[in-house]
Amino acid sequence: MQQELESLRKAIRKKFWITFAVCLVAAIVILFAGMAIGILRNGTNAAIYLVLALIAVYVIPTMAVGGQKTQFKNMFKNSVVKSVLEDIFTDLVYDPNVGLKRADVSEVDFLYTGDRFSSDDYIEGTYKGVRVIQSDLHIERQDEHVDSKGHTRTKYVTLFKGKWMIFEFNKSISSKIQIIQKGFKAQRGAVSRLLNSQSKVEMEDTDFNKRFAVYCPNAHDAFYVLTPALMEKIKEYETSQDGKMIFAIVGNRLHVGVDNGRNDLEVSTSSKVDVEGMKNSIREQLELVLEVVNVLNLDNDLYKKGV
Amino acid sequence: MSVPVIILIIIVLLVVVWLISASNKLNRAVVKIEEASSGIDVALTKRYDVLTKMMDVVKAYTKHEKETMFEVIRLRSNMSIQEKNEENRKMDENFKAIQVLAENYPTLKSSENYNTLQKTIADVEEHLQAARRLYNSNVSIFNQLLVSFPVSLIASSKGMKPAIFFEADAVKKNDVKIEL
Repeated sequence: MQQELESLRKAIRKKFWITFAVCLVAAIVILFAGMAIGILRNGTNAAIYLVLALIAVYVIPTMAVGGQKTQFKNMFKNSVVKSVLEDIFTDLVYDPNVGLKRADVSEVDFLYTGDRFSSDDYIEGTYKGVRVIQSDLHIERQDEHVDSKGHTRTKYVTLFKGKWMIFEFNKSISSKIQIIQKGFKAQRGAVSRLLNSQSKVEMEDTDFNKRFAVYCPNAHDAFYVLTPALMEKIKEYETSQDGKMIFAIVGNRLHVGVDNGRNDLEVSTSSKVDVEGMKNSIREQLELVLEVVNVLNLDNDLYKKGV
Repeated sequence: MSVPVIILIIIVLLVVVWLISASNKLNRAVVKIEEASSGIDVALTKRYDVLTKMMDVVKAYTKHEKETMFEVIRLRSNMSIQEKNEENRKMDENFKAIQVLAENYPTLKSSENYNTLQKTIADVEEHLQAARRLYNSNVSIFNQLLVSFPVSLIASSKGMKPAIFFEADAVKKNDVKIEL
């Protein structure tokens, strides 16, 4: 597998640089020809041409290798990534081209799913007897503003880029609990939260209250789920990860969103293929997911069985 | 109307608004304590139900009569916190007695009913702890209001006194090992 990937990577690089060189030479020839016949002697025309030529010299080679890059990415994910996942999870379902839909996360009321919602690298499997779903997620908000000349400019602002995980939770409650770290960007606006202000719950851990806001319509359920031990573990998990977080418990599902700015499980053609190194990197990226099960003791089924 | 009179009226209005707000805050704190207290009632009732089932299982395996082995527990409506504490303590004693009996009767200890009920206890205990923590949290907020000036003035004028915490029983403060 290493040889196949490396051969494909080298072929992509070779094609890219050859196409780049051809485009560059063509651009230079056109420049001199244009100057010779007088079209590009004008400073403005020359500047416009140079900008367009620079763009074309980069874009054309990139497009030329686009198909092969996709092939390289799929080969990497379906072989290297999948082999690591199969070592960790049982009953594995993995599709690198599919992700979570808005409906999958919409039960987390306080999450704002934005104007653009994209997701990939869908993983579903069982780890230590706990059913886990995870996917990379990117949520953006569309911002429009009108400039002084009356032109409307649209830009997209990232609200969440990172990992979204859904776990089978080991306690079942009838109400929803939402635990939002202070500074988490992709949360519903102040008005929406104000309408739910009666359901804000102050826990007895003042440090936890400083770092997280807890919302639950039934305060008893919040205290039932958020034991002092679990609050400590949530703080421990938050300290160990980059990025702001949101936790939500809906029925027997625990949602965890970590806004770490990363799109994991991706591969670049710029560095040499090292399958073992890549596998170690993938295992490290998956630690974020496995740590939720380990740190929060989700494999403890003490509260699931009984009369 | 002169400016000093207008200012005086505004000050009086602000004081009245504050008085109403502080009074309502105290009343809401009392209601929250009462709500949390009924949460404790629910949790104690659940605990009592599980305990009763366990005592029936014990009786079936050991042939001992419940009344000779266990403290009598009576849960009533409108119990004070001290009374709830006392009934909870009796339930702790009964659970301990069951565990001691189970050690002497291996067939009881290995029975499916007994083990299922042991796991139910864990969840019931968590609910009771949650109810206790919520109650104590509300009591703490109320008691802090009573000693905070100037709200303390309103509280003392209404004759409000500090509420009592639902304490963890001394026995329960020690780790109790439940072998499943």
